[in-house]
Amino acid sequence: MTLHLRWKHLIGIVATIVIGSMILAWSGLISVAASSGHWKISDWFLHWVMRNSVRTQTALSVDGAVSDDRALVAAAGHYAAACTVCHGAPGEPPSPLMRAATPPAPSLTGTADRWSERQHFWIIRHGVKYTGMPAWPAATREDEVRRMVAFVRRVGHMSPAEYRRLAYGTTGLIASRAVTLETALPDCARCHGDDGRGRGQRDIPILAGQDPRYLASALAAFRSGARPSAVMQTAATRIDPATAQALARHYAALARPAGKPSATTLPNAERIVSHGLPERKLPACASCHDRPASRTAYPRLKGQRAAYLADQLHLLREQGAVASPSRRLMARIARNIPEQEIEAIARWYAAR
Amino acid sequence: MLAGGMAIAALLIYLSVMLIAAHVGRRRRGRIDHHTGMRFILWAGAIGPTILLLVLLLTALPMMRPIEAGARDLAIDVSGEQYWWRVRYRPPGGPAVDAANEIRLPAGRPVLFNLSSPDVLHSFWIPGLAGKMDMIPGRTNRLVIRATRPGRYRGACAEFCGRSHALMRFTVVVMEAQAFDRWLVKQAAPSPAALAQSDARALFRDYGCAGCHAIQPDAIGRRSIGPDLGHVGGRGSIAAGVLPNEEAAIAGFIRHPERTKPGIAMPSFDFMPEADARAIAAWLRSLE
Repeated sequence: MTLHLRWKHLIGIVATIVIGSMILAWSGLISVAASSGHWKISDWFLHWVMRNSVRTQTALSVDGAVSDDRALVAAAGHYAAACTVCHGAPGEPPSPLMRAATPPAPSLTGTADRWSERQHFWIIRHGVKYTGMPAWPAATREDEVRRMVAFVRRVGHMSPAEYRRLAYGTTGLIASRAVTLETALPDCARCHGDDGRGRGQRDIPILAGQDPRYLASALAAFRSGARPSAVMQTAATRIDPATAQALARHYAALARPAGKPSATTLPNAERIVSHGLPERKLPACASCHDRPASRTAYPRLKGQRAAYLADQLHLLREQGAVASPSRRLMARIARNIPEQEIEAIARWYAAR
Repeated sequence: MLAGGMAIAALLIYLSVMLIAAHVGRRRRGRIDHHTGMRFILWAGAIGPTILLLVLLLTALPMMRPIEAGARDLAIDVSGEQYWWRVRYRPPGGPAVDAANEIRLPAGRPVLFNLSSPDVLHSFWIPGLAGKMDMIPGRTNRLVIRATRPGRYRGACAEFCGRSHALMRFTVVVMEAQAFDRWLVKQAAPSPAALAQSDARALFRDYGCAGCHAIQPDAIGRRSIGPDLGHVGGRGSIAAGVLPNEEAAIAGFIRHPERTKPGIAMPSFDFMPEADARAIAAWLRSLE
């Protein structure tokens, strides 16, 4: 007996499979219950697909630096507020609630052996579909992702005390909903310090003595996402507008540390600050910044951390289009600063 | 008069063509020989036109002599920049006067223009007064203009220079010579409104406008990055001849310059409250 397979039969088989699958899906007999977990084979298959995807997508899209370990406090602080609920941390098991998810998020102990640095960058930057792992909310802030990569690769080896010191500082607390200044401050202090000086971290600005109008507008911009930052947006959404105003006044009233006079005189930076470079369409920094009794909310730069200023100028040059309106203006100007003068200008301001 | 003259010339040409045609028609039967033909070509085709053109050239050449401008004449440096005109008057024996986007000239006096550009090619063109002259980065081109009749003339950039090339215009105001002298003396001093303390003057400085736009006595830096606004209230238009010099137009331009001029170097002040923009605009209008 021979089987004569004709086109008619083939189409019939395919149609039966499609219609059958649709009926199965419609019937609701496939359970999406997280309580039952996966079959072993589906679990293996889904993870196999995921690992293959991470490997290939990383090879295709991740390029350049993927880790930055020069400052870990902000990454640790963000991790404590946003990631521990699923992943846990040294001395802090994940929430029992999230342990009951399918799949439960992996503990990060030993994660550095399972994934390469570049793969971690890809996972943190893009998230993983169907697992609950979110993408980095601020797509343009790969600098934040790089610091988180550095933190995540180290957190597995940290002692609970080490972790707490990074993520909470001495007096820090995470506020679930900051409704008053008193509940918000210990949360802010985890990264910004009780004195508003940013715990010596290069990526955290000195808030002490900053213009209160600037602080309030920056918080609002972080909150709305107009100024992209996953770390600050997550923190700012816990703060209601009235508390934001109080926080701005609080930090503005703190004493700004006196700038450490620079060993060198930085004549070019001084010229750019007070006169600009007209031939490059670069106005003087001082025409907007640190004007006494100014009516505008432009930030004060004198006494700010040099590394922070330089990093922000680089960030503005690269990502002006996605900044808040006033930062978009600064981005236009920042692109006219000669590359080799950025560090010097930052150091000049830090020394004042 | 010109049209009449052209009509008469056209009539003469028409008549002579008809005359020659009739003449040729009559001669067709007794065909001209080779020698006569060649002589006709020589006289009518070579010697005749040569003499005629020579006479025209000799009479026209003296009229084409370039207008001279000496050290005792007014010089005006004009720099074409994307997308506006930097203007500096250099009166003989007086201080230099900075301005932008509008040029005033004394009627009857020769004026030397030094034309340059810091960025790309532009071309300086006042159709009613002179031919085009290119503005070339790295060199200075000279152009002498003697305007004879007072009035307003339009000028424009005549060399494609970028996205807002068509929005790079200016006005030329030719004034009676004495009135021009009085005007220039006034321009050399700060506008009275720029000297008085006012909220708008403080706003202009606090928003950083003064970082790019010089307004004496508040100018910062050696050379204004954008147009000098010291006497902007006296200009007929703003944004290089594109917008009327009115409060609403200025306030709108401050908040969204790119809506008027794509590719403009000025950043948007879209975060500036409307009231502040209006206050600055009204103050700028008062700087006569």
